Amino acid sequence: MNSEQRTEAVVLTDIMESFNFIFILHCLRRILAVTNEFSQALQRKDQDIKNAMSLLKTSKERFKMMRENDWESLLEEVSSFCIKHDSDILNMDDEYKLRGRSR
Amino acid sequence: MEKKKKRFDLHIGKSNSCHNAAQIKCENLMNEKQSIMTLLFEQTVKSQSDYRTRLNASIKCAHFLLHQGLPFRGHDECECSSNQGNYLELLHFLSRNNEVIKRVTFSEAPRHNKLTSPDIQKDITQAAAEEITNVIIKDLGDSLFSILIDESRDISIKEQMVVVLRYVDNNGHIIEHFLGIQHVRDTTASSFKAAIEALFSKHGLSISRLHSQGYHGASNMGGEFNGLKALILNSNPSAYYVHCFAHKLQLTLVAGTKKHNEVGDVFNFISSIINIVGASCKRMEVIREKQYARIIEGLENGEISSGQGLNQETSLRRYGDTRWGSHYVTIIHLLVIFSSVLDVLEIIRMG
Repeated sequence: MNSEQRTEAVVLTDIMESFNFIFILHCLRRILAVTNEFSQALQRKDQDIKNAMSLLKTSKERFKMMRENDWESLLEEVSSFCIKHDSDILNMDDEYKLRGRSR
Repeated sequence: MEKKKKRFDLHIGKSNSCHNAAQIKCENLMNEKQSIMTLLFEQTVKSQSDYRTRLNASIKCAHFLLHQGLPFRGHDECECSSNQGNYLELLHFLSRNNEVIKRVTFSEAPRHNKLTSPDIQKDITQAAAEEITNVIIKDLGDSLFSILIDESRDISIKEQMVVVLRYVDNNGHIIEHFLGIQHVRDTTASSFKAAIEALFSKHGLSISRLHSQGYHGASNMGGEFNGLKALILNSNPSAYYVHCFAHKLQLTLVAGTKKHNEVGDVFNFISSIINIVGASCKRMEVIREKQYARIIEGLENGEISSGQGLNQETSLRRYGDTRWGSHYVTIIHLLVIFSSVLDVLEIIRMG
């Protein structure tokens, strides 16, 4: 086992256990679930352009719904996932800090 | 009287006398069944029916292989080879299990007429392809249709163009049929146009019957002024162009993930994770074992339910920008085996 790989493993473990990573994974899963369904529907042989446009509209509406209503359930999902994998949960009430050196 | 008899016997003579020879010739001539012409004719009838059986066997084998999309040829096709390739082995199998075919194939067949050569195989395949396209063209009839085209290079580094026909059949169903692959010299719009024209004229289609065209959006295909789209629109203004929607969606998705810094980072990390964890079979094996243990544990605790198609063996899947929906699959798989991946990373960390 070389030291490079060990370092990489250390870094990757930190990243995988970070709230950010887990949050984005779950968020992306929800978003991509919609686009994936849309993509599958578009690939159907008997699809026509009128139907495709309405599918596009539905997908956009689903995104809008997600943006407006699903925040709580997403946070809930991420939190339970974090607890299951012993990761720290981000306290949403903490002060927001940008990356980089403080000035 | 006595003298006449004696004279006659003298005329007949011994067994190889002129008279006896003539008599045998005469008998042979009168015996129609033994005539050379008859024999030849009978031979032809027999060899014709044998030929038909042999050809049918060859076609059956080719049909099976074509249907399953299997390769015909083998690495070593000489008679001493232990595996002569799919086609010959299939024919061997058929002849072993069918007496009628066995009597007319391989060693029983005339050496110049075995119907197993690569040329014959290609001929049969060609015939099958023509039959299929004929059915498609017949089904299409006189109705309008649209074409979907993509291009890619094949394993022998030749640029190939794929053409799919899309039309509405007599029952009102939308039908998509793969028409064929055409070799093009390069990927310029004009050579595509020439290839399409060649393909169309071969099948008796005409560009004037096109009512729409669908490609990916590269400039040689969907270009506004000199793309294939524009060239076809020049000869048929009603061939509306539609950029493949699913392709567009994937392009947007890829561009989106790359543009957003945090999301882009996440995908780069996932790449690194797949690289380091999927690097060796040993590590993948650890993942499989851990995951297996977790599923068993979960099933016993009743945390996860069992059922057909559930809890399948999951591995890390690499995503690709040109593989539709692959980002989604990657994320799903990673989330499923999240803790197993962490375990493997720990093993690597501990050295």
